[in-house]
Amino acid sequence: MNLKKTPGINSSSMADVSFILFIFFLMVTTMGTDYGLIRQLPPMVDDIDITQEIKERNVFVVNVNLYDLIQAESKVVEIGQLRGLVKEFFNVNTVGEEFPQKKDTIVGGKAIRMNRTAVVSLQNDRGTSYRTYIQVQNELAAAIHELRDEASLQLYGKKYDDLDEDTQEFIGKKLYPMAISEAEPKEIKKK
Amino acid sequence: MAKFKKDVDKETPAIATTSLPDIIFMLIFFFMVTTSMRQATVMVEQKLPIASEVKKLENKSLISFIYIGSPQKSYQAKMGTSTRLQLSDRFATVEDIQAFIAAERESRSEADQAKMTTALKIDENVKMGQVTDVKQALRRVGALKISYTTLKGEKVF
Repeated sequence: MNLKKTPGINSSSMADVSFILFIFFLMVTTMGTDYGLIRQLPPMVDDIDITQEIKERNVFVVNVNLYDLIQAESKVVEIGQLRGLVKEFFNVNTVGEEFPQKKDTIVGGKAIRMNRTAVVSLQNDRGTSYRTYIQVQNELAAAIHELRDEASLQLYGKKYDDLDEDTQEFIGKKLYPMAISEAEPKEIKKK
Repeated sequence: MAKFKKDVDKETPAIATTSLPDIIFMLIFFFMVTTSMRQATVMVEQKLPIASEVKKLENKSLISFIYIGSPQKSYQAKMGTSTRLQLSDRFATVEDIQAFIAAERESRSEADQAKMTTALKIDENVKMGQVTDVKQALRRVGALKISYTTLKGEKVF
C-alpha cells in the first residue's frame, strides 16, 4: 500500500486568481449608465399672458402629425433632410428674406453676426409616436451641435467641447442657443 | 559562547499568503452586497428609441424615473395592454406624479433638490399624447429638468 501523503496544493496563486475575478467584475458592472436628451421644461404659467411677438421669418416651424409625417416650414420633409434645413436656417452667414434677422455684435473687438431671435417651434400631435418625436429632437440638437462646432472651429480653431467655459457659454448661449420652443399639443379632432 | 551565536544564514520566513484570497473574496462580497442597484423592476415594455446627441446622466441618486409603456406579458392579465405609467414599482396614473415627485424631493437634502432630474424612460411606440400629459404634470409640480432616456447610437433613423 502506498502510504505517502499527498502533497498540499500550492495555493499561492489563488490570490491572483481572485484578484483577476475582482478586477473583471469591477470592469464589467456598468451600473446601467443611462444616456438621454436633457431638456428644460418651461415653467407653468396660468394667468399671465406671456405671448411674445416674434416675426415669422425668425421662426422655423416643425410640425409632426399623427401619421409621423414631418412638415418643416411649409413642405413635407423626410427626417434626413431636417438637419440640413435647420442648419441653413440658423446659420449666421445665410442671407435672405426667409432667414432670421441678424445683428452685428462687438465681441472682443470683432464684429460677430448673431441671430438672437431665431427659434425652432416644434409642434406635435397627440398621436405622434415617441420614436419620431425623439428623432426630430435629435436632429434639431444635432444641427445646433454642428453649428456650434463649426463656429468654434472658425473663431477659436477648436471644437466646441474643447473650449473653456466662458467661450463655450458665449457660443452655446449667445451665438447658437438651443432655442427649441414646444407648443402645447394640438388635438386634431376627427370629424 | 555558542548559546548567543546568531543564525546568520537563517532567511526571513516567507509571509503567509494563504489568507490573501480570503481577504480578496471578502472584498468582492462586500462590493457585491453594497452595490444596491436601487432600481425598480420595470413592469412595462421598454424599447427605448435611439439618439446620437445624448449626454450621460450624472449623479444617479438625484434622478427619479418615470416609466411609460404597455405592461409586460405577465402583467397584461391584470393591467391590460394599453399604455401605462409606472412610478417606482407600481402602476400609476398621471395624477400620482405630484405625490411621487413630492416624495422624491422629500428624500433628498435641500441643496440637492434643485439639481434633481426626472428621467423619462418611454417605449418608442408610446403616443406623444401620454408623454405630453406627463410633461404637463411635471411642469405643474415644477420638476422642470427632464431627460428623455434613449439608447446611444449613431444610426437614428
